[in-house]
Amino acid sequence: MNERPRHLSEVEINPVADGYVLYQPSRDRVHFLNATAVVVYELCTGKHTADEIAAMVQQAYELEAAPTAEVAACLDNLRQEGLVA
Amino acid sequence: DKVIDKVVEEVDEPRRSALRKIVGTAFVVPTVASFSMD
Repeated sequence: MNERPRHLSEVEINPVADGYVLYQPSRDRVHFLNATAVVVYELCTGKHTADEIAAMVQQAYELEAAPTAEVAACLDNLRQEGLVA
Repeated sequence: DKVIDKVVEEVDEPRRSALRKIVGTAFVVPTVASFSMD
């Protein structure tokens, strides 16, 4: 995976106690991201590949292995919703 | 802390402070719940 995901649409970001509530005016949709999904979303700057994001999540949470599949699934979800490309 | 710094430096204030305030959370499977506002 060499793609470097980046934020796609203009969204209103509302940090809440356990994540972000994003409002996407272009599609009139609301998205709730839990805390780990917020980390993944914020790392979608166009600088990091999916594998690099998974490695950073691994380091951040001091996990034994990179959560590659979980991060890939999260990125797929964000892509399907038009939040990242 | 080092990784938190690396993550939060990717975003500008005021979101940077809000994002930092990931501190102390445990890893959970990242999930996105979406719905239409119609």
